Amino acid sequence: MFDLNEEITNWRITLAESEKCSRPDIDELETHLREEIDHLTPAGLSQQEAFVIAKGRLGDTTSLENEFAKVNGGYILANRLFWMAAGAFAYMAAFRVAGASSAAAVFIGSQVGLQLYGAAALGIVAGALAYGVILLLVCLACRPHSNLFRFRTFSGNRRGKIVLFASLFVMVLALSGTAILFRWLIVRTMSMHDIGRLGMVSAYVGVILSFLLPVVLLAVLIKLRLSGYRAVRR
Amino acid sequence: MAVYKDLVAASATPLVLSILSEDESYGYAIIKRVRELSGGRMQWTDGMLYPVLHRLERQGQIKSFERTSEAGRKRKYYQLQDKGGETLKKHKKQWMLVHSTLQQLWEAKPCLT
Repeated sequence: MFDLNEEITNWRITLAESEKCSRPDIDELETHLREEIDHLTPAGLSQQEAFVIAKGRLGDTTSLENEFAKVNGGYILANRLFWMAAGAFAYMAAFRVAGASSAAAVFIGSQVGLQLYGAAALGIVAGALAYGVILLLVCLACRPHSNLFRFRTFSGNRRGKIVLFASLFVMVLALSGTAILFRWLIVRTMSMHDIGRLGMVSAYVGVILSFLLPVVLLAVLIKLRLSGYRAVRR
Repeated sequence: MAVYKDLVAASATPLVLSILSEDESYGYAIIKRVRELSGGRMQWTDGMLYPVLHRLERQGQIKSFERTSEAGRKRKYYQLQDKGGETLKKHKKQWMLVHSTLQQLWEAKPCLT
């Protein structure tokens, strides 16, 4: 069953995915497409035939994208900067999540009576687990037919990008807040001697976790390449 | 007759500016006009018109505004600005120069014997 609106939406998504055409550009092209279809259908063509011809007359997506890229320099740069900034925030968020969970583990460990290295080990394990969970979520989201990470939602969609950016921003702030909360809790409940020891433990844990994050990122990148992410794009 | 790509590209700006100098118009109508005027022999790839329009707008030669048609379709209309008029005059001079140069070469040469 030929659904014109669905076909046009798919065509729009293909154009948007290249990240070279802005939303107003695509809207203008769609108006043109629909006018051409309206022009062709009275001549006796079916809607499907008219759509195919109109799409052909408009030009193949690759050439269109390349032509638009020549005039859309500013937009393309802003788009790329957005994704870089979002990536930076995602990095901060992941770092804080692991930091928060390891700080919690260290705190609990020292309350329970674990010694220096015991508490440190617990912290490292907790941090590594947190990174592991994040890695697992990212891999799940990046499966070819996944709905979790609707990349298509973000392409050329300003509202989607604002939502993504805002949620990452809020996450980073919230986690920074919990970090402050923990420190306050530690100062309130522990003796000076214990705080000093805890500080040393946290320092150990922090250094080891900062080695882990690049490894995690590398693993994510390798997984993305191996899972044939490129094959997903039409 | 498939016109050479370079020729199509070079003629795009003067064609668009000339059509807009007659009256304001929108993308689809401009394409139709080009087809009409060339008797269907100049077949543009429709989508390529829009980057040209956007570039001209960025240079301040034309201006765009939205209008809703009677059928309720929202269209982006383009209007020639003074700067565009000046550029069009320059284009005309240059094209006439090239045309007259070529014409002299292509006119029948007198027989020398």
